[in-house]
Formats: sequence, structure tokens, C-alpha cells
Amino acid sequence: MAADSLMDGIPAAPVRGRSLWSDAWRRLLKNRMAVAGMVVVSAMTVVSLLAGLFSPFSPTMQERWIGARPPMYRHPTVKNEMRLKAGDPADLPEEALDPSAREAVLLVEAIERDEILRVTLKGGVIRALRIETGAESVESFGASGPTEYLNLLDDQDRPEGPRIPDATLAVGGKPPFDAPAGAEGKAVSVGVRWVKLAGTKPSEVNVSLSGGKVAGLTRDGSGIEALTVQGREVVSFMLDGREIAHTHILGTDQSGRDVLSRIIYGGQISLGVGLAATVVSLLIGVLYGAFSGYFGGRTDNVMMRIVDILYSIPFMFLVIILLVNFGRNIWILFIALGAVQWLTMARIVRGQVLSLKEKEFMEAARMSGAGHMAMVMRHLIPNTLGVVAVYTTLTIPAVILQESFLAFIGLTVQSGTGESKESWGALVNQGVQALGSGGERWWLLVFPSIAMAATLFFMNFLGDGLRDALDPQQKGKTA
Amino acid sequence: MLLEVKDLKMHFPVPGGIIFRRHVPPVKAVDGVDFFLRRRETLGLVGESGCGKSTLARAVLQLYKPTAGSVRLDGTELTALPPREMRKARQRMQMIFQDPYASLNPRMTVGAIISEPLRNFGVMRGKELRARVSELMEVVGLSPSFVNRYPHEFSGGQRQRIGVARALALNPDLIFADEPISALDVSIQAQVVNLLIDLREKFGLSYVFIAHDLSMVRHISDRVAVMYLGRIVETAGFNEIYREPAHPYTRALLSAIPIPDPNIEASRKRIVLPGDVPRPDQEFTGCRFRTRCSQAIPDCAATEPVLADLGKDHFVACLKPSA
Repeated sequence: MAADSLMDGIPAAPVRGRSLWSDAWRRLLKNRMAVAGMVVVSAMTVVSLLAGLFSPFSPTMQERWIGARPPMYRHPTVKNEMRLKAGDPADLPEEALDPSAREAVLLVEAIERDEILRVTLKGGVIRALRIETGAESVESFGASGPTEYLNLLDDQDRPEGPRIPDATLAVGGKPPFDAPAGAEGKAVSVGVRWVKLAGTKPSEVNVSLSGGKVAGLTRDGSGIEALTVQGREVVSFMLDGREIAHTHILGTDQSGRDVLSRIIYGGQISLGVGLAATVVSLLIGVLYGAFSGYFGGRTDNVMMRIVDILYSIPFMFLVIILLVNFGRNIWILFIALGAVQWLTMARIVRGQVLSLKEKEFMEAARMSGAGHMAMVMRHLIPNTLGVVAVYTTLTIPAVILQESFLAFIGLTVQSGTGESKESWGALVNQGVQALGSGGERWWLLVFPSIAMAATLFFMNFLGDGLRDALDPQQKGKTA
Repeated sequence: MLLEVKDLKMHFPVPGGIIFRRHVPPVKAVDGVDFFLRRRETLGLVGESGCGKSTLARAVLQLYKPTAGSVRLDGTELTALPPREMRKARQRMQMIFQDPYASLNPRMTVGAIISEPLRNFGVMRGKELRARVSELMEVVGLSPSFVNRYPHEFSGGQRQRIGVARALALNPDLIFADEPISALDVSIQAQVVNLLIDLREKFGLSYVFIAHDLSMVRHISDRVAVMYLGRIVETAGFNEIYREPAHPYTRALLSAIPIPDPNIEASRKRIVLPGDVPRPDQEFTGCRFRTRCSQAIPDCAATEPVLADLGKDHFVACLKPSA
């Protein structure tokens, strides 16, 4: 009876064991910072992976006439150019193509001048102003309205130039913009485009719609046959009394691209590179380190000296040379960054293996007839995975940072189709360049930086949490 | 004769010098050991820490490549076997390890640990394998419902039972138990020893049972071999060695067994050996024990004693054995 009662509490069905992993998982869940890290990092990953669902606009959609606008900027939803003609399908943005829509009202501000102004600077003041199109010299030029745009024209059209506030340019006065580098003492061409003259009254364009087609067209009350409206001229757009407009939550860049969308798509590149390079380094590093440590002796010596030699190569150089010589292919970047990261991984794994292989369970495995493969794959590597997991979560942010550095110095990667993939590093780089002397366009730098910094920050939290969870004795000690 | 070991030597080279190789004497952990084991017999191997017991076990099992000597299992010379053949031969010999915490892979379930030898040698798979694991767990007194648990969820004694189950998996003829109970609680030690005795009767096993004192081998051993500094100094049946120890070192070991009676214990005469065990990398002439032996004679420094037959399975390596 006594012997039987010992077995009483034991259920007949196999008891699920609690592995060291599930133990570590429970400890991890108790660590608030690590959970926060996990939540943020997974949220970032999901948003980046499903960028198409989460990003409000296409990251490449340009609304150039808007230029760089601060966060929460709202403007009418229009197309670049809308050719409206009675009887034709309505050439309006998708939102307006609702077949049940009856009437569209566009408030159009005529652009009277779309000209290039040549500003000659000398001694920091304007010496001459010349409107290039008519080769006509003027004493002053009033630049005002919502879309003034100023453009440095050194040798080519550069819409990325600084925008000027409402101002009047006058001969003898100071220019309302920062004189471009090298402008002192020389004549510099500066263009002003798309100037909406102050005081002009916008005209009202009425489009009656029927089944998605233009039924009738009037301008300021009088009927017309056809009209081409430039997107940049539209001040407001009403469809059946409803305003058709959209908001750029984090503002736009100089080409009028939505910053939020660009950050979301940039995350795809940054996180993707971080993850892929880390996986490459994991595969190489873990296997290399495990076999090196396992075989030991001369093999280990040779394998580790190879690692030392590779370590001594300035790897950023290597990556840059690879990228320059083999093209800015994203795969080259994965391989180049991964090929560098595996060195540390190999060392860490080797160190673990050296101590693990002296454990009795390794001898037990040999007695059980395990071959070299089984010893390494079944007995050594699973026991190193704790350390490997921790190092991995710390490698991903390191790689992201390195990729950002490369992007920051201009080595952005390109997709297979040659389209430039702009990672957070590239966005930050553009943000710095577009910032302006007083930080006027701060949102172009701040938001990508926050996205990157937050990701790195929370990934490091997660890594620290994992380390504590997998090795509770280490807790509180610095690595 | 199941196992015959002749003049087995296991020397470990010590790498010397950082840049230039300089000669450093090797550590002679096992230095000329002879013993034999009959089928269904248990040999208790006793000696103090560092005398080479564990190294001897590993050299016999070919976990280490012995420096010299011969190991014959059922007449097959193991030291000369090519690796492939050796792996096969290993199915017949298994080992139970000293540290029940270090000898089980913490990332594997109990079922995976016990079934590993069976899977590695491709003995069985699938349902048959699972049935065998359950059977083995029952045999060693573990509930088969624990098959999916991990080693860290067990106590020391239970873990050692897992180790025993693993050693039994391949139905070996010979099991080396390397201090299987010295890491356990005294209350658990007897359980494990009794389990080993039961299994011996049930499966006709032979054991080499390693321990560091004679009291531990008392219940399980048919014969006892006493090791000192890499050599076997005396071997005899347990009762014989207990009643008539011939080697002075054996006598000292015997005198160290505590007696569970305070009155006798208080009056017990203990032989305390002077000095320390010499370093195992030293060159020796004569008897190794002479530096600590109270009966040493000048001849002990000149002549190295070999195991001499005293009859009744009693062998001793001493120039002046006491009768």
C-alpha cells in the first residue's frame, strides 16, 4: 500500500516536461523592460513586413509642389495633372472616381508666373534680379502665397533647394535665404518657380459627374469644353460637398513624399538587413565555432587564427569595397555584414563549446555511440543556444547601425530592379542635408532618427532581458 | 573471462613552454595496471582521489587512447580495433557517471537521453523504441510518465537512475560505474546500490564499481582492487581483503571505515598515513607507496613490487606483505 501510494499522485499520461527554454521564457515575461522590448520590436517588425497595409501612402509618391511640410500637413488630394473634358472619364484622383459622385468643385488658383529668377549676390546682398524667361531685369520680386519655392540653379534643376518664406526680394536688400556655398562675390542663379501672385482670386471649377464620366464643366460659372488643371494649382477640392484632402502625419520631404510611409518602408530595409546579416552570421559562426571548439588542438588553432586574421581586416573598408566593386546589391550587403559578424559569434560559441565538451554528458554521448555530427549538433550546439540567442539579439541592432552608417555615408542599397532602397540611415542622411540652418525641417531628421533609436533601444532591452532570463546567475553582473 | 586488462598505461603529455617546446614529464595517471573481471562478477575499484580510478575506467572503455597495454573484452583486443569496430564493441560496455548533474544533457528530455544509444546504434525506432524507454524507466524505478521531462526537474538520485537506464539501454555485458553514488545523499546511496545489485541479478551484468572508500563497495563487490598512484596494489575477494589485508595501504584504508557504534568507534584504531601522495609526474624507482609506508625496508626503493599471487584470488604488490 505504501509503495502504491507513491505512484498515486503521478498521472498515467506522460507529464509535459518544462524545458530550460520554457523556464527562461517565464523569467523573460517577468521582466517588464524585456516585455516592452519584445512588444515594440515585434510591432516594428510586423508594421515593416506589412508595410503595404500600414503605410498611408506609397513611399515613392511625389507631390513635388507641396515640398517639405511639417507634421499634420493637410492638403487637397489631387493628381499631378488632371485633364478634364466633357464626355471623357473623369481624370480625378481615385477617391473621386466613385460612380455615384455627382459634382466636384475645384478651387483653382491660377499660376501666373512659373519662372526662373536669376539672383546675383555680391557681398551678401542682392545686386541684380532678372526674370530669366523674359530676360527682364526687375528691381524687386514679391514671392508669396502657399507654394513659393526657391531653387538653387547652379548647373541643373534642383528642386531640393531651400524654400523661402513669404518675402520680397529687392536689389540692394539681403536675400531671404542662406546664400549657397561659394555664392560670395559671385553671381549665383536662383530660381523661383510656381509663384502664386498675392491678390489673385482663385477661380472655381465645377465638374458635374455622371457614372464616373465628366458630364459638364464650368469655370467661374461659364461653361467650357475642356480644362487641364495642374495639381499644384488646386487650393481645395470638394466632392459632393465633402472635402477631399489628406494629411501627412509626420510631414513630407522636399519632393512631397510622406515621411511616415518612408519610415515604414525604410524599416523593411533596416530590419531586413539586420535580420538577414545576423542569420548569416549565426549559421557560419555557430557551426564554425562549434566544430573548432569540438575538435580542439591543432584544428582549433588553425581555425581560430583564421578568425583572428579576418578580425584584423578593417571590415568597414571591406564592406565599402565590396559594395563599390560589386554594385550596391542588397545581397552583397547581407553577406558582407554577416561575414563580418560571424567572427565574434564563432569565438563565443567556441568558448562555450570548450567548456561544454569537458562535461560528462559528452563522454556519455560517446559511450552511447554518438558520432562527431551528433556530438556537435545534438549535444554541443543546443547547449550554446542560450548565449547565442542573447548575442543574436544584440547583433541585430549592431548590424542595423552599421547598415545605417553605410547608408548615411551614401552607400544605400538597391533592390534587384535597381530601385534605390532607402533605409533609416539613408533617411537620416537626407534629413541632415535638408535640415536647414535653423533646423526648419526638423521633422525630416527627427522622425527617422526616433524610429531607428527606438528600435535599437528596445532590441537592446530585449537582449539584456534574454541574458538575464537564460542565465539567472549572471543577473545584475555586467557582461 | 569477460575483461582482461594487462599492463595498461595512460600517460598524459604536458605541453611545456610557450614558444619553444621543452621537455615536461608526462602525468602518469595509470601506470601499468593489471586486472581481470569474470562474467557476472563485480569488481570494486577503490583508491583515494587522484589515484587514477576514473582514468583507468576511461582508458579501458577507450574513451582515452591508452598509451600502452592491452584490454581484451571476451578475447577481443580493444586497443587495436579500428574506430568503426570500436564503436560496435562499445555497445557491450557502458558507463554510469559520477556526477548525475553533469552527465545528462540539460537540453534533452529523459526519453531522448535514454533512447540515445538505441537511436545511435540504430537498434530500434518508433513505437518499439518508446516501449523500450518505458520499460527501462520502470526497471530503474522511474515512472514512465516522466518521459518528456528534463533532467533539471529530477533529484540527484532520480537523475542517477536516468543514467543507469541509459547505460542499460543497449543490454551491455559490462558496466563501469564511476563513483555512481559519491555525489548522492547518504540516504539515496543505498537505494542506488540496491538498484545496481537488482539489475545485476536480473540482467546478468558485470560491474566495475569505482569508489573512493571501501565502505561504499562493501555491499556490491565480489572482489575488490585497491589502487594507489596509478597502480593496483592489492586485489582479493571482499571478505578476504576485509579479514586479511596484505598491503599496508589497504590496511590504512580499512582502518578509515567508520563503525556505526559510538563505543567501538571511539576505541577504533586508525592508521594515519604520513605525508602526501607523490606527484603523478614523478619518476619512480621501487615501490610507490614507500614514502608513506611504515614498514618500508631499504629494498623497497630498489625493487618495484609486482602483483604476487597469495592464493584464493588474492594478489598483492608488496615486498613485505603481512599475512
